[in-house]
Amino acid sequence: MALTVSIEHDNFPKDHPIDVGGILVPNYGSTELTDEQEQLFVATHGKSVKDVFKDTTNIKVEGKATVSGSDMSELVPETVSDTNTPTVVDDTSEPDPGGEKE
Amino acid sequence: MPAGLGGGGYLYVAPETTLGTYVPPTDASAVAVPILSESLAYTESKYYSPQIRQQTIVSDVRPSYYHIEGDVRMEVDAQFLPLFLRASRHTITGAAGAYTFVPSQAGSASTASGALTPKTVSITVVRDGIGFGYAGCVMGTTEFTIDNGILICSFGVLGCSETTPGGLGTPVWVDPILFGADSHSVYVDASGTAPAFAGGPSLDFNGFTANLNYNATAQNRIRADRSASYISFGETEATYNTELDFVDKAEYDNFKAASTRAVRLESLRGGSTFAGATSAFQLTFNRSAYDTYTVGLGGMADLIMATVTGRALGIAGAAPYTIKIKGGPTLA
Repeated sequence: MALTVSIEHDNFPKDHPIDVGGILVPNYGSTELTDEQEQLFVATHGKSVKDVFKDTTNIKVEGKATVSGSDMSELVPETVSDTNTPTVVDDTSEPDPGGEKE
Repeated sequence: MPAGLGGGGYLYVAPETTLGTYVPPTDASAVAVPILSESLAYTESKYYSPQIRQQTIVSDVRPSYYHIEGDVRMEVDAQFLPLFLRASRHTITGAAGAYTFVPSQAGSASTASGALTPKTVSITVVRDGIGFGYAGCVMGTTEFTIDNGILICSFGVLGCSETTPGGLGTPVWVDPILFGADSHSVYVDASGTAPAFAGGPSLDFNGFTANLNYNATAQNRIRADRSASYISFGETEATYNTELDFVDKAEYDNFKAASTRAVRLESLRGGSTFAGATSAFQLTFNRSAYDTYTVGLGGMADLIMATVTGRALGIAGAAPYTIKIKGGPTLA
């Protein structure tokens, strides 16, 4: 079974649609994720669905993730080093005391 | 880590069960609230030692007492407004998302059990992925204004202490229910315990701003903790200011005579009356007097407008003002 996200949020009425990390879930209800939704979620948040919600007491994630660890490395952008960092030149040479060149 | 944009941040509000004990955004009671801006800050006047020691610069610094202070600005949305009003100086009645707030005489902020008792709140702000937790917070001032046709509120927050949240929560969001340019009406009537406003809305108001100021102050006490012990309240000053098309001298004469008037700002969604609306905000000054009334010839092509400020007064048998909300959350 694919991942299912459910939420129980006291601030909103039952069945009120709630955006849970980009997934629309009815309050006191649940939504089953498609593969595409799960991939988009991982690409957006940089973590698996279960990891993102693991500390949230009123959001439950159940079922089996379809995005594997190797898939995740393709979805989550790596941090790219800045290749435009200017090179510092340590110029300790004395200025040319000579006059104008002919 | 690169600098982030404000739009990537978020703010949580959570009612406290013990005044000043921080409630993190991972708690089930915490609610992510969409805001326009916030400026909550650790506020401290450090002590700089002015020792006389053959120099004219301070010699040392010591941390001093601190508190939390700043503004939270948001569009009025009944889904969230009661969470903040419950943390201000009001008595609350009602149920199931329909509430009435009237000013109380509380000397200081408090937290008590029960859905309708005033509570301090913990506010968590996540800025560029870094959390700031503020505990013991109350709304020391509340301002409602119509800005570009949208009903906006600004809270002047005072809090006791700052902490670093352990978990930053995962905010969830719902569609906003805002009060736009076609939602508002302003009514004026004779003052009374329950003004009828039977004459219908006034069509002369160009803007309306109501300011509720409880003159809150952070109180620090001598103890082994630099944070504020609690927030006290002072005089309640409820005022409004607006600009009116000047069409006759009726209200001007009321101003000079210090005649009292009732004034109401009402914003509705989903219905043309407060009773029929699905989401509603209503602020009524049951008895108020004009404080200033200025009208002049501004320029050849300028409309003749009166700039008016008013102030709420106490009234026997009723509250000086009331705030009514429909379509709010069920407070717990």
